[in-house]
Amino acid sequence: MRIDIFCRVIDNYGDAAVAWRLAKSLVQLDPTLTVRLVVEGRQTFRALAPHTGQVEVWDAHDSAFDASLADVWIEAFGERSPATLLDQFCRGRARDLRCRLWIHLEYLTAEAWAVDYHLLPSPQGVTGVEKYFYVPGFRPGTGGLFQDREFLARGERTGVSLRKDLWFRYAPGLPPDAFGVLVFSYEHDYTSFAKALAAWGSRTGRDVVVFAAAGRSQEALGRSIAPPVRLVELPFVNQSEFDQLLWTMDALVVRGEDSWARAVLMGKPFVWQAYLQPEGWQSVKVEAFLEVLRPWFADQTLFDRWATLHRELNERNAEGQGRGDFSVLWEEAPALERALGEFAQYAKNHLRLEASLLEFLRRFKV
Amino acid sequence: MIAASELRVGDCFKNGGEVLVVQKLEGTKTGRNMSVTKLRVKNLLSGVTADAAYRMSDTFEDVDLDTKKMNFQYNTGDTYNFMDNETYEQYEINKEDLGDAPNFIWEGMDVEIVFYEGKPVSVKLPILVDREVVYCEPGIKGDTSGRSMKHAKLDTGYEIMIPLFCEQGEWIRVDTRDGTYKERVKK
Repeated sequence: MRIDIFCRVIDNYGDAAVAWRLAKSLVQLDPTLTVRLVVEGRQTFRALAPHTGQVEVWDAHDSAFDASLADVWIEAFGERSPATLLDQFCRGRARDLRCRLWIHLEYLTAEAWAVDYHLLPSPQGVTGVEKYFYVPGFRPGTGGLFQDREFLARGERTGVSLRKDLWFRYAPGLPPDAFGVLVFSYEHDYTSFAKALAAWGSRTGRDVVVFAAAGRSQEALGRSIAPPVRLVELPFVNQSEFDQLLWTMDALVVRGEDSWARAVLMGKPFVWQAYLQPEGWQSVKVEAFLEVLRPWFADQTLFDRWATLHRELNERNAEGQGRGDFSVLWEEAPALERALGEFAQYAKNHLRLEASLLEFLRRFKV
Repeated sequence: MIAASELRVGDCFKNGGEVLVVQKLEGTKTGRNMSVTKLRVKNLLSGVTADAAYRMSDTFEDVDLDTKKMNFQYNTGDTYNFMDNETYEQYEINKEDLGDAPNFIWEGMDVEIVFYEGKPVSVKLPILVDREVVYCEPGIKGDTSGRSMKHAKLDTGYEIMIPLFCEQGEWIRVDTRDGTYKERVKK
């Protein structure tokens, strides 16, 4: 089966990161697949994935690229080009097409509508080509979460020595038994975060290191973090390196989609900051996620603390800035790991996106 | 061309040679400020009804069908009866072909009826309609934020979520595109 995956490289590689993970996950699952990733900005994409192995990466504007070779098209998130290019191509050469199946891959959401939309047809009026929505989600009946076998296997290999080696690359001399928090978020005033972390560190005598991922949160952390808490400002790292870093952490502040899904599958203490939407719509998405996770917490007081942190981090207005009791991430780390770990196990067993997607594609005998 | 975001219940459009009428629609916001819509459409050629999902930016061919202003007379449960305001001729439309429209129409209301090959196929509704709340739990004074909602029933029988501050007997404005509460109105 030949699969072309189309996506854009925008906004700190969020969309491309998901599309790349899909591409490599499909190949991991079935090495006989021919998977091509078609991106706008192939050169830029290299920073995310310098080595793509079996997956061919094409620039959407490369005149040598021939979309008619694929059996399946997957447009990641759909809007604007290259999906538009695909659309034009499809209508212009419908008779020459080999492709019979066109998948619109939607953004990950915990909202209930994901169940309703998942696998709905989306007829495009092109003879012989069937288009379907594929909606990733956290609920049964949705498309699930990208697992990425390689990513999950990394978790089993992460030990003190890897942590020591990896951390040494960015900040020699860090104690490998320090409490490590990685922050990859949108803008936020991290004053309360820094104070709470410093207070906990001095109370427990534990070394604390904050890794600020390249991007919007780095500047804010630079203003807030002060000794004895160590701040490591990370350069932009490729996805493989970022995955390894995630596994070496004790707690995470994640954003968007891909790092959110990684945090969920890892079962480590984390808080998620959603993409900012008009009229505070990101809160709807956050509440839906909390609704899904609530039953996995035996201790509802703990859940309420964790949920409050999510709400405060996602308020995104002037009053919300600087707020957020992040201390639940370290003070309640073992209890959070138990609750989130159970959901992670459930997700790994029942929300397997690439396996479900492949099964769906095979139903069409393409 | 017409974009999916512009479609309303009762609209007709052409997709790959098929003429479709929108019976029901709902929209939702996805990631990165984008939106998708779920449509229930009836194929006017085959009579088959199906659900479909689209990006709001997906476009379709317009189809120019005749419309007539008519007055909704009554329903028998399975069928809805409309009268031509000029000729007084009466037409029936099956309830299932009206999609969500029965939630927002009342006897005596003027609506636009869409005709395909001489047969009435759908009702075009105004975007906003005002209806009376005939049942809801008592209101909570002082809560004017509109964020907390409660169940209510309108005089058309439609069940809707309204803000806590609304009272039974009051009139509200409803968006017929998604069936949601817009605001309280004075009558």
